[in-house]
Amino acid sequence: MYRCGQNPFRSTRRHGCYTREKFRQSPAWVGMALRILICDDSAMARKQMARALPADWAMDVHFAKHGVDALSQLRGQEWDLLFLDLNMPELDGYGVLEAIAQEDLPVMTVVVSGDIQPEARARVLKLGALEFIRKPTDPERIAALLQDYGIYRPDEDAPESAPEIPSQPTPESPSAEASSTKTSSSETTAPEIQPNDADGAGSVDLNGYLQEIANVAMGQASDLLARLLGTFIRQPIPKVDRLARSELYMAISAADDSDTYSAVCQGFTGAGLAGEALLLFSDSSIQNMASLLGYRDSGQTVAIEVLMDLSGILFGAFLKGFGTQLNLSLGLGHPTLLGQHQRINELLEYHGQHQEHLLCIEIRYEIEGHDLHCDLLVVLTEDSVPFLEQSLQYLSD
Amino acid sequence: MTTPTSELQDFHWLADMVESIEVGLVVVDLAGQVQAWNGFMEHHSGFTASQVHDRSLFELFPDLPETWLRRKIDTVVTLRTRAFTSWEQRAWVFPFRNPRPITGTEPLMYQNLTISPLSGTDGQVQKVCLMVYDVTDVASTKLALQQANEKLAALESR
Repeated sequence: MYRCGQNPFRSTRRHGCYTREKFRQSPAWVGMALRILICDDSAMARKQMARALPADWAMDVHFAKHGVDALSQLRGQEWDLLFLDLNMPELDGYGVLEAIAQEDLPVMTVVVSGDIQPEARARVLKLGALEFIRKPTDPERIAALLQDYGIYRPDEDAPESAPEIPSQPTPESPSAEASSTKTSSSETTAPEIQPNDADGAGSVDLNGYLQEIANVAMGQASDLLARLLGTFIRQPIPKVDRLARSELYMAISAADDSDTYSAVCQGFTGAGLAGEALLLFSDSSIQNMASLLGYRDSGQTVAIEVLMDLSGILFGAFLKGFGTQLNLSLGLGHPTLLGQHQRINELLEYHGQHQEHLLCIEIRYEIEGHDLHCDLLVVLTEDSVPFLEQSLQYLSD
Repeated sequence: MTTPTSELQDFHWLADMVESIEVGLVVVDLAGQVQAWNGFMEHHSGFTASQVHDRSLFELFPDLPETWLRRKIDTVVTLRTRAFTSWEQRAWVFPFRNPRPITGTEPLMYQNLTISPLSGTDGQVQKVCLMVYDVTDVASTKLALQQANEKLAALESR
């Protein structure tokens, strides 16, 4: 445990130490509930976060849907702990951290994000966050973190349902199963999050579910892209839409009619799920990307190099993260050049007969300072929907 | 030359390669029971290797052209030669979806098939290997070209 003066993150921050000291002598230890705010734009992420908290912990959990919402709640009342997402509309996590520091709001903040770039972690710690946790949230990681900071002690009287590994004699990090076995003597109850609880974490629909899975998968893809380009990449917010096959071109929301595009696609398939990933570049962007990647000459083959290089990295990382979260092994086909120098509606025009409603995830990367953007499109077939609904159902149960 | 550990390592990466190659690999015994089933087959069929092991290929896929395939396999075993089939004679052997379900034009995966004899330590052919190649791209392009040519011919003869 840190002493005030030794805390590497917070040594200059007065209220940080105050807050932790407050916890040591906190009435929580004598049975009062800690006030916790979970801020995330995704209902699924809010729910996952709430579930990751130790079940035998006395707490009062509230939710905020974006940064502005969180700040107004933080200003109004006293809070002990804030779990904060980074990638949000209205006001993102960085903005919230800045405001907390500026207004000296007395709350300990733990950032929970799918953005795994080392730079993201460094930025939030510098802005005063206590810790940075990767999504998807792991209950054991949360429990360990809360114990490190002396905020939480597992209920030692609680019966253990999961056998402990011999090398860990003390139940330092209770497993999800162990912590869900609540003792009836708990003074306050753990939050009961219902799947369709409007006042709690909020209901999760299929689009919201996909958006959050995409968000975490994208974090892994962006990290690779950032390393390749040697820049920090601001995480875009994935957009999920249902589109008829003939309207696929509408998935590229910011497409310019006068611009021409080139694209690579790669099919993927697993048990119950199939689809295709597409990477689209406007022709002006692709030249900028080529020079950013260090390709000296220009021309046909360079554009294809760029498309193949980037799609290999982005598709691979994204689909790996996507499959892992769905507990599914995905097979990837060989990437194919879909077309070059075409308008978006020609490029994505459908020549087949079969009509279906697709699930479409659009991720728009903008690389600051390089006048360059590209669209990562992950399209799922209509018959993947039952599989996704089932896996969403598991999550809600 | 090789120590047992390095042999084990060799086997490990060899197995990894077989698992991840973008070609379907199936080993069946002479009765048609599945002995090996790689990642490509798992992903496209939805059956895992453990689900299909020791089960009859023809029970797993009732749509397989059994008589046709058995005859090919028998020839391979008897003559100890490889046999080839092309998508042009039979568009697909295994009913798999088009590997590009969104931008592809055909509903199913076009396949070329190679059947290869596998002999045991006694030199007898005990199993055969089916190699399933995805040729959907080639087939779609060729079919589209054919259609275009037919249209052109029809226009000319007007």
